[in-house]
Amino acid sequence: MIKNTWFVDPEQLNPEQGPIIDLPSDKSYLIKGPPGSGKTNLLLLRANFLAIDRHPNLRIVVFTRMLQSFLVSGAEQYDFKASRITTLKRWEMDLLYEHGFRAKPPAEHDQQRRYYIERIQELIDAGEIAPNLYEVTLLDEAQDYLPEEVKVFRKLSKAIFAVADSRQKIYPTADCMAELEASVDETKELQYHHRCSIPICRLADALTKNPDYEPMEHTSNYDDARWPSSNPTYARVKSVEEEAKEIMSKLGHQIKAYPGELIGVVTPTNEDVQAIWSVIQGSSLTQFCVLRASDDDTPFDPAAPIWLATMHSFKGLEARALHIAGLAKLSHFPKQRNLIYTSVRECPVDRRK
Amino acid sequence: MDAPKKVGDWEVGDFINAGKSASVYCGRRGDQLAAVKIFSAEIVQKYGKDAQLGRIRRELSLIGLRHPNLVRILDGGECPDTGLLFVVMELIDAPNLATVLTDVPRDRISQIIAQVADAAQFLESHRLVHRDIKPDNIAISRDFSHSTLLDLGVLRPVGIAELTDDETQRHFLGTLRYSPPEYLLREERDDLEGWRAVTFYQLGAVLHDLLMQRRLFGDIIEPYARLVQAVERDIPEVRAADVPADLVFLARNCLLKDVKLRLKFVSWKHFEVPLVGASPIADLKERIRNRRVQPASPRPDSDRAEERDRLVRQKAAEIQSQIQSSIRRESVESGLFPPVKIVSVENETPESACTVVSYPESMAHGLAVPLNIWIRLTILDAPSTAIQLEAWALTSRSAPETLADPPVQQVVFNGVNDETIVRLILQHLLYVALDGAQQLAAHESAEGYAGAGQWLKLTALPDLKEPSND
Repeated sequence: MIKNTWFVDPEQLNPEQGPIIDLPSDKSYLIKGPPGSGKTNLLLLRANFLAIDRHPNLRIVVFTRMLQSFLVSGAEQYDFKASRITTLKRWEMDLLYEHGFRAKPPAEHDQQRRYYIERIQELIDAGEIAPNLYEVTLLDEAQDYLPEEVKVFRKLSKAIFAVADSRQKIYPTADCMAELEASVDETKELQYHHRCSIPICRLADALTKNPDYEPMEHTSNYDDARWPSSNPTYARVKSVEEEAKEIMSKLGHQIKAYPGELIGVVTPTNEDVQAIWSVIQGSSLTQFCVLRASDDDTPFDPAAPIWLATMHSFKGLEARALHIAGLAKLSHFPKQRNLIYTSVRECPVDRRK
Repeated sequence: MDAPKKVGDWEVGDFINAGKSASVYCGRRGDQLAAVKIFSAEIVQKYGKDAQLGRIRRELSLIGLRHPNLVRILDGGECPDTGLLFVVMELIDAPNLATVLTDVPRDRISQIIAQVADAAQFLESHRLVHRDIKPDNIAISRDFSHSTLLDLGVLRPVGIAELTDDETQRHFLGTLRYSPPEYLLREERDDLEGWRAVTFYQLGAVLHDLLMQRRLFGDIIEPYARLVQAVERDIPEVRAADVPADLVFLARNCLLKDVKLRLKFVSWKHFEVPLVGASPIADLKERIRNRRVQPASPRPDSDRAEERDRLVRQKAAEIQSQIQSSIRRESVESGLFPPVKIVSVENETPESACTVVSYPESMAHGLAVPLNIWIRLTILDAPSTAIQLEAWALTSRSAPETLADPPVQQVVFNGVNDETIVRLILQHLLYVALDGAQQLAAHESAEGYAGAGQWLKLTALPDLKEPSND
């Protein structure tokens, strides 16, 4: 597990978080909260509680492979088997395979995703998969699931425990929040958060136009004395190669300043990831840097603390410093505002100075 | 001027120094040594003998009055033999502060300023004002432990008209640099408060020189008009990380151009030592040493209302942000508070900005009911960042926005904004409020709070409460 982990013990929880862990174990809950409000941590502590409370038959479903491997690397802190942590895709494939399904799915991501869930739905309808297969399913980043997926989880589990932030939704899929709220006995809201420094909150707040939005800045309990923050910096550059060089000029300092901590370099497209990777490979930083594909599950290695990935695959991870490249391309896609927003909020501190 | 052998009863000895209007010599009467100041004949002729004699008589009125930090006047008048005008003072074998400014140990500064202020207050108690307090007129012992206010040549009784108009004009030639703007324009009020404001400014100027180790507006030598402009408009930078923050704060408050604000923020007790030691917050000093100070921003040339409003809004936003950051920091770092929510309330006027700080109930923190604290910032003068902070607090389960006006708004701070001092004030405020809320909870059951809530009694930090000048 990475140093300075966000994983906290139950006694360190704030008064909002504490009571959530030991809510009745046979009921379903949706926990909504801003980034850094401890949702993923609560999910794991809830899983511990359930495992100890004789509900070992649980599944923890996270969205990306990268986050799954990240969580698995902290297995010694859990009272359940790390193998209980899975990604949506892995879980679907395993379930279908167990039920004799061997057909080749469509290659395109969205089609494939629909294909899998429809097949499972068919198996349930045909009575081939028993309802309540699991005692509890715990869903991380639940706002990113399809309503159909939520329905299936609900059917296959006696109870669900979902954590979500509707503001962090990054996939342009149908909104499942209504489905989630209808699927649980109670929805709880967290408001305090501890991971995003004030400059980062302000940046995230500025990216949001929704009038009902509660600014992140108001409820930030970020410990600036412990992790001094700096203001985000912005550089206007001509090409992605130039951008890569700009970023690299900071990375050298950051790996020294934050030993053993994850430093992220993200871009919206795979093309830009490749372009930056080729620039880094020709430099002395190459030994410290890992190119992360979205289905990559190699654990974090403190000797190579810089992860280069797309914004999508980086989602849910937490970096000590984050560089966002290739934003110029996003200006053509106004709906991607949420994507930048999410990337910004994964980062407690930006040290681009 | 050739030194005479004798003036009055005093034998004149070695030359000590000379100013524009007089020369000072060692003097002896029997076995008593003294400093003899002999006025130049040209000056006396130029401005009139009667006026000069009038001033000397004022100095002589101090004979017999003793204060440890005020030079003693022994004798004076017109010499019957030579016709020279003279004043005899206690002989002090010590350099003047202006010549040793950079040698003063930092930990002696508060004592020096306290001693000089005490002498000035002593004069005030006799309805006199020095009018020319500056480092050149302060003798400092070689171990920097004892200071003496010198040169009572422009001493003036409060509320009695000038001897001549000329006097003031000549006076300015020497000490414009250390004059507050209202004195420069001769707009000072001729009463105790009016002259006290002048004295506070001059004490602040001396404090400035001690802290910054250079003269006030020291970069301006010429032209004369530029210095006048500086006195009227420039906000001197005062900062020092190696002295208690109170001293910097005091200097900035003293140097305010606005007389009303100066008198509102400063009182004699602020010059007393130790300023910091009496604070109830134990690690005060430690935090103060880690202080950060924002540089003073220049006063804009434009006096247009729009420009002023813009500046006021900008300062209000900056200071509000600083306040919120201090509150968040203390709430999170101390570990003594439940999670905090900090919200800015819509500003009613450009000058004011209100912050609501809310803590949820948390048994782990001994808080049985939610606590809300309001802090209203008012910009009193934007260029110098003179501000006032008022606060009120309430324990209530209802949303803070729905609550009626508070019964009492406690003024918790008045003065030039100083991040360290304001942070101390806010820390104190947060702990008083939390303590009050916890005590309420201990006395009543949680059901008792279910209604409109309970207002808490807040107190200001004793050392920095609103000054009273009586």
